[in-house]
Amino acid sequence: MIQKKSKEQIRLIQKSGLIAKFTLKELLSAAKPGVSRFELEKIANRLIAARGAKPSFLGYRGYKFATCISINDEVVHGLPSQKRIKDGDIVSIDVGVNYNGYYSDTAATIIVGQASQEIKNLVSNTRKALMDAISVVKPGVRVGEIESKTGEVLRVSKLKPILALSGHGVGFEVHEEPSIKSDGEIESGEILEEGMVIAIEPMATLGTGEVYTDKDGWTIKTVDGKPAAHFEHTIAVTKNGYKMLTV
Amino acid sequence: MPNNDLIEIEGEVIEALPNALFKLKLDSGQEIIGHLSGKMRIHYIRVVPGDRVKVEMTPYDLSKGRIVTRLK
Repeated sequence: MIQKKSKEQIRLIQKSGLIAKFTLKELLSAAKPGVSRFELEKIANRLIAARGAKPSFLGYRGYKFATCISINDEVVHGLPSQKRIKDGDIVSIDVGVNYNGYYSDTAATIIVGQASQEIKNLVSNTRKALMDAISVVKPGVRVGEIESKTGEVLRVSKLKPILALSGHGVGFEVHEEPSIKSDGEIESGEILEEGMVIAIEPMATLGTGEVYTDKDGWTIKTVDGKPAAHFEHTIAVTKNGYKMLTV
Repeated sequence: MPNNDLIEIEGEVIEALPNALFKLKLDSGQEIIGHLSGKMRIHYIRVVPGDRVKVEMTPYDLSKGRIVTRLK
C-alpha cells in the first residue's frame, strides 16, 4: 500500500526537502580537490543539525553516516572515509533528512575539475533523465512510465541504467513503496495518485550496468570499473501534476 | 538513498525439476521454487539435490527465487 500524504504533511516533507536541498548545495560547492569525504560528512551533519533536523541515513539499516559520497566507479552508498577527492573525480553525494518525522532524500553528481566529454555527457544526461522522468508525474500515470522515460533518455545518450537499485516512496520513512527503477515497461507498476510522495533517482553508467557490493558491505561499485552518475529528487504527486520538494 | 529490494538468503536444494528449476528449502523454513541464474548456466555450474545455495528473492513474490551461488 503506497501511503498517501495530506497537504499539510507534504508541506512538512517539503521543509525536510529544503533542508536537504540546501545541505546538498553546500556539499556540492565544498567538494573540491583535496577535500576528504569525511569533511563533507561533517559539514552535512552540522548543516542538518543547525536547522533542527536529523540526517535520515544515520542509523538506517546500520548505516553510520549522514551522507553517501560515491566517487567514479562507486555508484551509490559510498562511505565518507578519509579518502580525498581529486581533480577529475566524478562525485555523487546523497543526503536524506528527517525533519520531525518527515523524510526527504536528494542527490546529485558533479565533476571535480577536468573530465572528458564522455563523462560530462554521463553526468548531464543522467540529470536530464531525472528531470524528464519527473515531468511525466501526475495522478493516473504508472510507475512504469517514469521508469520507461528514464530508460529512454539514458538509452538515447548511450548510457546504461543501473537496475540493481531503485528509487522509492518516501515521506514517513526513508524507503517506502513503490520501487522506481532506472528503466522499465510503460504498462507496469502502481498507478500514482494525488498525495503520494516519491524519490526518483536514476543511476547510470558508461559501462554495462552490472554492479557488486564492495567488501565494506555498503558501497555499490560497477563490475567493469566504469564511472556512474546519480541524481535524485523527492516529488509529491499533486492533483494535476507534481511538486518538487527538494528544489 | 537508493533501495535494493532483493533479499539474499541461503538454503538447500531438495529436488531438481525440468528447465533448470529446483525445489529449495530455505534456511527460513520456506520451500520455494528457484531457477538457476544465467551466470551459472553460462559457466555450466551444476547444482544437485543436497547442495547448499545462495538465493536472491524479491520481497514482492516470496514463492520464487534465483539461485546465485553454489556454496562450498
